[in-house]
Amino acid sequence: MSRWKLYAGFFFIMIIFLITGNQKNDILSIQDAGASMCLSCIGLE
Amino acid sequence: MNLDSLRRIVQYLTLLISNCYLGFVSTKQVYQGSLKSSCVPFLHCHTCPSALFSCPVGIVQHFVTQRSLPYTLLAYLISVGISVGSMACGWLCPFGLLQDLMYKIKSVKLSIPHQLSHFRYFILFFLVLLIPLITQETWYCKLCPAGTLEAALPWVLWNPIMPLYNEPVAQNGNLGVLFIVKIGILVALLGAMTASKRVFCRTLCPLGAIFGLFNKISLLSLSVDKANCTSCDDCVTKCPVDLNVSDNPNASTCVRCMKCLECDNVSLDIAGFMKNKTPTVSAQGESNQAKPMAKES
Repeated sequence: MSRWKLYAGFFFIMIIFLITGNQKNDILSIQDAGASMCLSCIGLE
Repeated sequence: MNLDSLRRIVQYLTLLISNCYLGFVSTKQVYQGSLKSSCVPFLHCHTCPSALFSCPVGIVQHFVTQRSLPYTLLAYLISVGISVGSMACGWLCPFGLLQDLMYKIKSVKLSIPHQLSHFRYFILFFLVLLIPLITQETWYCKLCPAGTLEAALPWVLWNPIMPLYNEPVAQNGNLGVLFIVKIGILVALLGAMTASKRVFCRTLCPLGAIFGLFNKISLLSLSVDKANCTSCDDCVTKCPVDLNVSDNPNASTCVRCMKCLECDNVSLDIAGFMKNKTPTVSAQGESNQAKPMAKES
């Protein structure tokens, strides 16, 4: 039973995070970051 | 087809699917479409010319340098971790596939002390979170060997003139110590991969460190029938991370490759309800005892 409480807790945290992320337009920020050339990844100074 | 062959096919398919953007040849840019708003559940640099999706570690660092939290990404990582633990490391990660293949090269073989796996948390805390938060620079990306292989080498060797800046990617002056350090880390790691199984996953990967935390509590887990275990250690020999499966089948370093399922004493448990193998008693009254794993050819 305690295992299911743990899953329920994680599920609750996920829902809170998804709602907060949606309010902060996380998806657009991820797309912007992913679509730009990361100079650190290429090793340019 | 056995489970290990299926895993290899899935690894190659993942490599293909996550790298199927070919427009970079004409645009000389990374993919900028809507799929970049999704992260893959493994380490795959989004600056790789052919990458379709974003890298979760790169995105976490991007948010940390902006001094904000990637709520949606955290929810995604929790959902993957709580569902399958670190299964993506064993079944999907192209860098894991590279390590599996490099280990097949004949060379001196060395084992890695299990204590070194804690170093992943040091990398996660300092290089991915704390130092980028303070300096506002993505320090893990600067040193990431996967990024060097998938982004730095292709872009610098190709060196196209980028339409946005009307300049080549690498010019005199912008390739310095950092690039040499990156190449040094990659070369050292490629050498280490031939000597030790999954050396990067076990000692350096911050994403594996996150998913590994969920291994003990994930819906998908492994269990061992200790009553029938003969301690033959076949599972240890076959395990790609040298785990003693009978002692700790859900260790944080396990990549859930499922090779240990070849032993009848190890079973797959889904949410505590379903086990794919259970010791049964046959019609003749003989117990369905464990059979040792088949010898590796």
